[in-house]
Amino acid sequence: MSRNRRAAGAVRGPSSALTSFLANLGVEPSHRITTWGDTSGLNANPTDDQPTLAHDGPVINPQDELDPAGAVTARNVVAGPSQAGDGTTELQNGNKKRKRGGGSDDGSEYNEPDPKKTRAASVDSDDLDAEDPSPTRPRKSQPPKATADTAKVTPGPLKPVGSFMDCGECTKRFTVTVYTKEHPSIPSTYLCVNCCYALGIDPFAKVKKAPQKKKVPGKKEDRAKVVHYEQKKGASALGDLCIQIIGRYIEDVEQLGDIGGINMDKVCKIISKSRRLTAETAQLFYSADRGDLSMYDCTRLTPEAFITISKLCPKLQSLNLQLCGQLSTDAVTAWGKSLKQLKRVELFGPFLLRKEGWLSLFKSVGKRLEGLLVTQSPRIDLETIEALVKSCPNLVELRLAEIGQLNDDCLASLQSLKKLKLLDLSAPGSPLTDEAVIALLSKIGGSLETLDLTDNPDLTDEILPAIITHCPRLRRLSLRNVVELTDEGVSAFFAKLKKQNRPGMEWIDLEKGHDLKDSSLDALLAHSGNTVEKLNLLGWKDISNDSLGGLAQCKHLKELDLGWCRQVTDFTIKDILDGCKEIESIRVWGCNQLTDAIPRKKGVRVIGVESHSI
Amino acid sequence: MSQEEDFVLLESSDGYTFVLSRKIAEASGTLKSMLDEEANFEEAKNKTCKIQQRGVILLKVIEYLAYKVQYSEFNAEDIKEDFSDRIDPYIALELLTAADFLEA
Repeated sequence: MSRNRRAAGAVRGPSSALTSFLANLGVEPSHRITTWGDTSGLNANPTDDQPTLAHDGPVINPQDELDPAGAVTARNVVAGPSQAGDGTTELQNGNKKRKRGGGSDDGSEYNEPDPKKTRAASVDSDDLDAEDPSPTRPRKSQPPKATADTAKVTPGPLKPVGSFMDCGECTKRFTVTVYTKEHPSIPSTYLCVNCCYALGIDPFAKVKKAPQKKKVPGKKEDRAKVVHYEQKKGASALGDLCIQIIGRYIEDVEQLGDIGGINMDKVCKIISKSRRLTAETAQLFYSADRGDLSMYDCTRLTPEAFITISKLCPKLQSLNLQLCGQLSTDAVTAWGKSLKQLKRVELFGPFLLRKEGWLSLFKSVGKRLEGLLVTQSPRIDLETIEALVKSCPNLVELRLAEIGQLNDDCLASLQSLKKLKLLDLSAPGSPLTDEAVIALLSKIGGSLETLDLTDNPDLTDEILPAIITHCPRLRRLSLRNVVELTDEGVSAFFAKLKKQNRPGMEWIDLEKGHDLKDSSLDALLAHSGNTVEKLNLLGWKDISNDSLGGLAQCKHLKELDLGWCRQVTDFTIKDILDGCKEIESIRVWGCNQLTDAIPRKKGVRVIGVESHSI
Repeated sequence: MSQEEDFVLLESSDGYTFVLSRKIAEASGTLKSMLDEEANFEEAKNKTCKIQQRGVILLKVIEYLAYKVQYSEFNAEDIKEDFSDRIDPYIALELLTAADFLEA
């Protein structure tokens, strides 16, 4: 009884939306409270046992229909919406009112022997129950009269919540709920709520959770086993062990021996491999007397580690951080404050660095800044560039590669950087135009030695005469993937350089010059053949073998890229190997005429021979 | 040629020489390539590799290679013997460069 009372008190209304929602989840009051629930006074056959009933589902009970029912009240309608009103009686309503008004003692008031039982357990009502698969209604605890005539039912697995089963004790049909208990003595049969009470089992004990808990650790074990299969075999690499040791003794650098005797830059490159440079190991490279610091893979360095640089390396003049994705605005601001000798900053991928960071760096480094080489920063915009030009007039090297917001307007503001020797404006967000580039070169071209205009698809041959006119000192030129360049334009460019007796170029990169052919290469070699050290002709698909033979005269050529020059043969390579005394590497990806018989030469790497890779 | 009992010679920059079985030497990727008989390198012919590292470093590398071969069939977590206990921190940096070169 007390249980009923408590549970009944916990339910707000017998047929509220909340109640029905909870009932669908298997949460229900221990005491059935429905508007039609208490029909004991009306029903003629009190012996009929009614299986579980939903408290708010549409119930059309034949008995109810036979009732000499009175008026249909609003409450009735609310209580049983699909009941068409005439299923409930005033008396029921009265009962309900009593219950509600009664509060906690409604249960005691409500002590007819078995109100639910008075309802007919007709097939109809069963079917109706099926329509509303709400779980077993807890009943008033009653004497287990059913236990007397126990008939065993066929054992079977517990059915899903909401379906019917026959009670293993009293054989009466009941609705399966999450709380349904197994019979304590007969396995695989289940008990209705009444029998649970009869057998002294709390029908609402959360038994289900126990097996679930057991399952969860089981799953975890399974997972652990899966991991076990993926265990690496064998000992860990010696390099890793060394790096661990270095990490362990990082605080006590003297323990690590004569650091000066070892090329720390080389160690840094080794540690940078496979992303092993972390905040701990990075400290190995910080020292108070370092003038320049290069770290080649800072992916795993935290913002704090970047701030530490400014504290531990106060004498830094040159800082080069590759893949510095976690570099924060705070760190750069700290650099500006602490690094009083900083002159050159090279950053690859400072994505998180905001505009304020750039502005504060430019402001604090100011006239000292000679080199700013940035690749990939989405935050550099016109205002940032204007601040840079204003604060740092002594820039010698400027790289603004792959800057999303770079456009012609930004170029206009660069015109006052008269000391620039290196200018890299490759792959801007909006392609630069001839006019803007020519205007810029006319102002600052005088001192330029290196010019990189890679990936500017809108540039045409028109910039070439401007380069001749405005850039007398140019030695390194990259016009990679400037697709509008024509064979005539490029050959005229080199012919004019030759005519004006300009010194030869050191680096020439005309990769993906799809239209460039023999006359371009001939003119190029005629002008720069004796001086060129790096030459990139990748993608000159129409270049002839004869022209390529001219490469043999390049005495100082060290690196050559002949990728996708289809006419290259083993003999071309042989001529180059014989003729170019200083050659170190030749790239030949996509040169499909090359065979295994390709000649070799000591100290020269020929990279990308197809037949080698198969 | 590469039988079970095949030995190779490693020579350090300061003149120490080490004779070790080919199986252990080939635990290092670089040494394996150097000693690859198909590649026809001088090292493969003479079965001698000159390593530009000090003898003490090379000794430790060889010690590690033997350790690596010994435990090559073990699961990483079953290896109870920690090689890093045998590394003097004083040579860790030099050993790191050697390990990197030798792909140990």
